[in-house]
Amino acid sequence: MKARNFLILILGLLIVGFSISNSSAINTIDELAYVVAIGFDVGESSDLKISFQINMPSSSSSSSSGEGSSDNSSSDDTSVINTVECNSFDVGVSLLNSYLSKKVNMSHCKYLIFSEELASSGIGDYIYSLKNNIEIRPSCNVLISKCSANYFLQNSKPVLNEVATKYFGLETSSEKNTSYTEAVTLKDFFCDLSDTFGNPYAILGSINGISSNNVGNNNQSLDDQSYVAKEIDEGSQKNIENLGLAIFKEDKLIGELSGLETIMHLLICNNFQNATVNIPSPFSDSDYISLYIYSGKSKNSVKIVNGTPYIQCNVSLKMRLLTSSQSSNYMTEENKRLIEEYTNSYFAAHINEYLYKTSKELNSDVCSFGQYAISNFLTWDDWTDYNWLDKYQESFFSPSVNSRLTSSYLLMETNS
Amino acid sequence: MNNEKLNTIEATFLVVIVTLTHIILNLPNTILKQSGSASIINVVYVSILTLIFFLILNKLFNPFSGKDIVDVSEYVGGKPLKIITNIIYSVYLIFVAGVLILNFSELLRLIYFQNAWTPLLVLIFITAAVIVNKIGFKNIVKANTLIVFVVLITVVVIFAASLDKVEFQRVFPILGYGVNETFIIGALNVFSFGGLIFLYLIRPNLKEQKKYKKVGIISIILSALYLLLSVSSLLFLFPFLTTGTETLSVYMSTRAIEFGKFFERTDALFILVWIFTFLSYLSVIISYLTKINKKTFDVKNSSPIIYIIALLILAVTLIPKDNAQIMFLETVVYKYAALIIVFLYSFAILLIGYLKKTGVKLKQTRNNKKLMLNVK
Repeated sequence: MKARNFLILILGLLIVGFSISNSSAINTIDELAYVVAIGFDVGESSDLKISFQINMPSSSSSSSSGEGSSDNSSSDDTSVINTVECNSFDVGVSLLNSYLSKKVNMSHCKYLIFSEELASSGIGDYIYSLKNNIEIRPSCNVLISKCSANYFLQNSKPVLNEVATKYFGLETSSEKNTSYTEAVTLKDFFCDLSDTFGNPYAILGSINGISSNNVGNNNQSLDDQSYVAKEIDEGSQKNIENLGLAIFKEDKLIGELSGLETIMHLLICNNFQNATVNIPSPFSDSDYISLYIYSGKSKNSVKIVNGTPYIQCNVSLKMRLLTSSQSSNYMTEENKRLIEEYTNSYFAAHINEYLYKTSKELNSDVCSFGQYAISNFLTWDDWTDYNWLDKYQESFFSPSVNSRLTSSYLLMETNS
Repeated sequence: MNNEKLNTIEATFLVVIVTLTHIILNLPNTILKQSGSASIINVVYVSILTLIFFLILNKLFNPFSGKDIVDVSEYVGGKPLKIITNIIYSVYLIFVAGVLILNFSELLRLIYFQNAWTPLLVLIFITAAVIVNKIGFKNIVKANTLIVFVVLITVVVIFAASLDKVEFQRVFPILGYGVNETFIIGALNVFSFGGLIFLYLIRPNLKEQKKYKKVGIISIILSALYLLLSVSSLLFLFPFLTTGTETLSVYMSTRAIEFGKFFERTDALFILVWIFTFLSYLSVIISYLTKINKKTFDVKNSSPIIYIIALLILAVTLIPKDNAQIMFLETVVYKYAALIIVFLYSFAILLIGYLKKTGVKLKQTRNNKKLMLNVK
């Protein structure tokens, strides 16, 4: 009896051993090529041109030309870019596999980059295919490039970071420090795309010819409202610039938000972390004062008034004063109140502008106000019959801001 | 035989394991598809219905202390009905176990073993379950208690980790697809508590018969709670129309959660725990099938029955040709099979048995009274 049990045990172990060793042998690290970013462009001979940025296991490896419709070029020593012309994403992966000595693996992919041209014609099918792919993580970022995705990848060397792949792996965007953009993942984009509450949006990025002493030189004025990622082919050094958001209606790119509009977007959507904002000084017409906003929350509500959405946004801000001058006394009760009133009206005006831009101009509910509106409906049929995503264009808004200046930094009062 | 007796926790977890395995696969998805945004209300509603059902069931089982449904069938219809009930239970449990193991093996193949042959993965599970069954019932129960406890923790972790990403407004519109779909057609979602089938079988194994009611109530509440957590995390995480088209929905939510920068891909950990869950589930099913078949057909040696059941489960896994068929079997066939066998057939047998028993008692009381009068 014991011998028979032992035999069964050995048999079981053998089956497990054989089956698992067979599969794992195929997935050893030496046989895989890890893709860190994928770029999608409109193809010349086919529907799609896909660029794969692949991590090089050794920096000494040199890039070589691919065959057929593929070509290789490296953005730095640690990665190689392979481009494939094809009709669908999965065929593109197969084509790449056909001439690479290793199997393409996308489980470490951090960025999905779509060119503006492709995004304008609709990327829904690609997003669904990518979501269906078991290797691509839902935390992968979606970026819309003002230039071609291939060009973006080739020049993707961020400031203060030698290795592009490391940049992709560690920090997807500067949103945590500036709030000029938002990290939008594949899961977020897919949910918004398939949702009835709102429309999708993505990170807006470009390659900007930039040097260390002229950051922001591509923008027309110093007013931060006009900051937006733009493609400038001048300058000796090319860098990634992620600024603003790309706005979609269903799966088509229809517009973009500037840096300041993105701050308003984050405030209304309750995704705001912190930002530095310049507002006109209440004490001098020609001056600006800088505020560090470290907390921002919005209480949103939607009522349906005569069949039209009426949207109220009550934003509360907490801030610190950054500006100081030779003779300033900003922290008196009266001056504090004055700064807070200016801040309230400045933010209310910009929030209003942002809301009407998304509603009247773009007709895209990127803040998902639908999630507040849906409580006005009892059944799913009532909700779908109302057709929120189209009705959003008829919305009217009532934003209000309540700011609180908590402190300055080290200097409270200066007298010259 | 005494060492095969179950305490309250062991018996409760035997019932809960069935609901848990279904939750891991596509049970929350099926409820979401049926009830939409009203899924949470629907789960609460069917949980209350199930609880009421069990209280009636408990009442009906009262005259049959230490007896399971097979014994009650024998009491109601003699040996033929006992055999029929045994066959129905065996076919149902073999079918459910086969479909679930196949579905889970497909999940494993899809994620980790793309080039593996699915029947081979199924065979690994079945071989392991056979070996475990050879070791003994009490060991299965103890391992199951431990595994269920760990799985319950993982379900809570999935819910808690997704809390920062959830949109609670997805609970609206509050009535989902309508009152009819939520409360009338939605009442059919009691099939989620298919684990109740063990409540018809575990009575002979209970250490204390009076704890039966407690076991039933706790297991239903636990199953309801975890079903609620799973449905909620999916409803709040994903737009429910898309979850309706997704397979492996709970796996999808494990992919969406992160624990800071250092623990990003925790889905592998969940899969590992789920492997043990399915192994335990399969072992429990084989074990109970062996028990009832041994009793019905008066077989002394359980080994041949274990092998036959294992082979039959393997045979079931070879029937579906593709994932669509597996989904159909799991979401449609299983649903109606559970409703018919757990909530109709078994209940009817029990009801007839109860009426017969109380009828006999009444008859005896009347006869006794008549006798007393005659004597007087």
